[in-house]
Amino acid sequence: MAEGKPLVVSGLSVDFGGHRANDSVDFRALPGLVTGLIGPNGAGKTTLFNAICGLVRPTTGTIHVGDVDITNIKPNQRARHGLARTFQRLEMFTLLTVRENVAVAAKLRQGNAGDAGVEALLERVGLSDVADARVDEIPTGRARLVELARALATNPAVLLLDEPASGQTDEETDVFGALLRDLAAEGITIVLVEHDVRLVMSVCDRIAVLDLGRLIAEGEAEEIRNNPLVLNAYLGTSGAA
Amino acid sequence: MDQFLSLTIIGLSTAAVYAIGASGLVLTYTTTGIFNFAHGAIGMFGAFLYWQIRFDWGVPTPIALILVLLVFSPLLGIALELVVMRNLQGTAESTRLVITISLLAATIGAANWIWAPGVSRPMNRFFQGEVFELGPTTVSYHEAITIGVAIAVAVGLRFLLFSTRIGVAMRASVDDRPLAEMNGARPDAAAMLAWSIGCSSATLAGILIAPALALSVPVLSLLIVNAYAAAMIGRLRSLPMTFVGAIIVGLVDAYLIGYQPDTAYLNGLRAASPVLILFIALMALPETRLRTGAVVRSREWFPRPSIRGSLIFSTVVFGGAVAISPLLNNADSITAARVFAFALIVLSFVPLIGFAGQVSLCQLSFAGIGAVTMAHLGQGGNPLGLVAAVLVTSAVGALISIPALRVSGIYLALATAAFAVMLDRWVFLLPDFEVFGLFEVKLFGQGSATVDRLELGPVSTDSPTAQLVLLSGAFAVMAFAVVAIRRSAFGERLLAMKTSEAACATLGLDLTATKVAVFSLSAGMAGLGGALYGGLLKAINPTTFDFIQGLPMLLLGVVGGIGAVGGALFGGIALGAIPIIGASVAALQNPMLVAPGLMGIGLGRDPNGAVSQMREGFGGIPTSRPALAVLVGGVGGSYVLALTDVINGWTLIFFAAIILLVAAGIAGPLTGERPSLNRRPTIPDLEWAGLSRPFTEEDREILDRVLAIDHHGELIDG
Repeated sequence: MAEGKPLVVSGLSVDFGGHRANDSVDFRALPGLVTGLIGPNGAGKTTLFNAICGLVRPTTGTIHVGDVDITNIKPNQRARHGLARTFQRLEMFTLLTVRENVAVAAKLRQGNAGDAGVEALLERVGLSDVADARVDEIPTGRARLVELARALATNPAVLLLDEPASGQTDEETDVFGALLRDLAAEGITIVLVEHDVRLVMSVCDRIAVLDLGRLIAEGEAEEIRNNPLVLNAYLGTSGAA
Repeated sequence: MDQFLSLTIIGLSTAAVYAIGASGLVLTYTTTGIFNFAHGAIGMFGAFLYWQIRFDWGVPTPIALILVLLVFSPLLGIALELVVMRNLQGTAESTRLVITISLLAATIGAANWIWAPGVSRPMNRFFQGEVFELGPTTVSYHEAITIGVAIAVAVGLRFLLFSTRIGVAMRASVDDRPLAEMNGARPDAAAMLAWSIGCSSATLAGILIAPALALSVPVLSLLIVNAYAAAMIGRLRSLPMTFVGAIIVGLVDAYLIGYQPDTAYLNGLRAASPVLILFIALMALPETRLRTGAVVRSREWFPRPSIRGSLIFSTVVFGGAVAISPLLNNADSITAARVFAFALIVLSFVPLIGFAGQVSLCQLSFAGIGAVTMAHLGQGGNPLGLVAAVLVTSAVGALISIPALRVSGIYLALATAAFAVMLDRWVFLLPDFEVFGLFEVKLFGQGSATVDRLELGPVSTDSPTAQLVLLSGAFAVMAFAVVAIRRSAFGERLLAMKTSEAACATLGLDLTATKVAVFSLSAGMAGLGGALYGGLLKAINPTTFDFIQGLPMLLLGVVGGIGAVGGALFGGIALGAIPIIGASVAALQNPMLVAPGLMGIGLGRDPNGAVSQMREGFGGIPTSRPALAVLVGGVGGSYVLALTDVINGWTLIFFAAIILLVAAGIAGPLTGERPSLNRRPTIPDLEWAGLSRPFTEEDREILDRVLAIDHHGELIDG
């Protein structure tokens, strides 16, 4: 894998018409760590991912991968700087097989040399047995692994994972968590948006919490667990109550 | 000043017609999400029907108007909604496009069936010859009525959409059909009303404009292209802006009548001005944003073709054509060669639409550019002319794609249609001209151009037999090339891009460069087909390559299976066979006029096309010895009969088809190839989950995904 690079988001705001989906968000994820990004539905997590990878244009703020300011470049150029992601709602290449899905990504970054690593990647994420299957014929939990393998095939420095455990069984989630830890140990910068609290608490080194577009807390798992602002955001009650 | 005022009145009258036509188009689009390419053809059909009732049968005007506008058109709209459009909910935009283009082709065919072309059908204006004074100029009653009707339509539609319950339901239906239904709206009734009003508005526009033009099928059918510009200025949503757009188009048209410089180079400018405005309006649209969450499970599936299989396909196609060529007379050889020329042009759709999902309606125009390039640069049959044809069309394709590809879906289709119609109405009619003194551009010389047949060194392809061999060989080679593209990394990228542009972009794919590349490649292929088709015809003119002629190519390619080279051959055969059947069997002459359109409406919804079903049906033959024996023995025996003049070439083809069917029957269908077609339940299905059927794990997954909720239900510190 490529050497991880820090992802630094500074003062990022995203507006949809009159609605502010992200409001002056400052966020940082470091190489070798899994950084959780959590928050209630509608908090702006996916919008932040979309802004980072260039699918929506921010109103204000900057985004850096390593030393490079990627705020104003196209999504494909951001990928060349080491950014890769998975999607909350699956974005599979449904006209291709599982193997072809991964191979497309591998060849985009590594040309024909990418082919060699495809089988190893499929093996690593546990998809070898369905490599020749139509990608929309496999269960959702495993389809999310295809998106992960596809992202990994681009040799990413920063990996954004949007609810990757959704649709997985508890056993699959455990295996997935271990894989994330391995990837982080290899130096990749990982940002994890996930509703599975057990997974988040078990794999994340740091956690950032968004609510109504704003970053309301950031810290280690235990700090976040007891943060009154976070409790209020999730439960609608004050921490003191 | 008098002229300016007169032209303004004329322009406003024309604008009123476009406004009426465009408002119906916008209404059906905003209510049902279907852009009706057949809108103009429906107006044309209604105008012909009005002529029939009013002028041919002599029925009084009010009764004729009531019959056409308030009886026939609404009923047609209801029938279309019930039979065709209702089934298109939830289908891909490209499918909806193909179905409405099929409807356009079928309507044109039906009109030509009922009202034979080439017959003069004079149609008077309302209150013919009566005028009134308006300041220094005169206004005809017809013009005043037209403007008045447009205002009434605008007021009526505004009232309907904003002040009536059904109007609100119409607007709600397009935003979220299931939600509107759950809130008591009746989307089906709203859609039916929208189609009724849409058809009536198209007919009204047709009746009002027909006296100013010839009562002609293609002219009236394409009139709506002018209204597209107005609709696009309204972004297909805003009726007031659509009316503003209509006024712009109408006034530009009128002022060009009076003030256009008198030069042969600008003769077509007026006719092309609406499509130029359409192109500008499309380019003014914001660039299509990359969307996520739009990937749907599709029934579409084209298995990755094998090199061996495609080599066999190309060899059989070429070998079959070579084998049969000595058995056909000159005329039949030309007919058979035409099949391959059509197939070559249809083949250009495969990488573009089949692989990349980019809809183009101007492939035949590219073929025309290829043919005209061959005419001038391939004189004496110089093969370099063929190379030039490919290079020139590739370059034009790339040039057009750069602005056009900013938009997608229906907008891209409209942009390519605008380009095709601009060529038809203006560019192809230009005299020779120089570009900045650097080089001379020669087109059709304002008439026709001669294309010399290829001379490949000592080998001449001038004879009809040689043309058949040349064109079948070219198709076989290009079919193999397309398979190679499909199997390449580029081909995989195109298929990936077709399903999720957002995912491709975030993986590092340069979407613009990829789209320009495939557009250019596809244009070059069409140019090659056009150059060879031109050589086959020897004399070409702009109508050979006009927009309307190109539509059946797209339809029949889709019917055949636009994602596979076999679909292109199917399209070529159908395009070649339909006129032959019509000419050979008198009883089928008219039905053949509507056949492409009806095939498109009936079969265009199967994304895998006819070849997919044929692959299933015939795929078992290679592994069944008895079937192979019957096939080889039967075809071989028939071929010997043909060589000995016992049967002719066409009978041989007929026998071969029968023997193929028999062999398929012996072998049985291929199993395991067909993709699973089980679809995930949609949200309305889910509403009844647990009541009409057991609630499943998959239902929960879908709900989780759609509602973006966590199925574990755990909360922090919860």
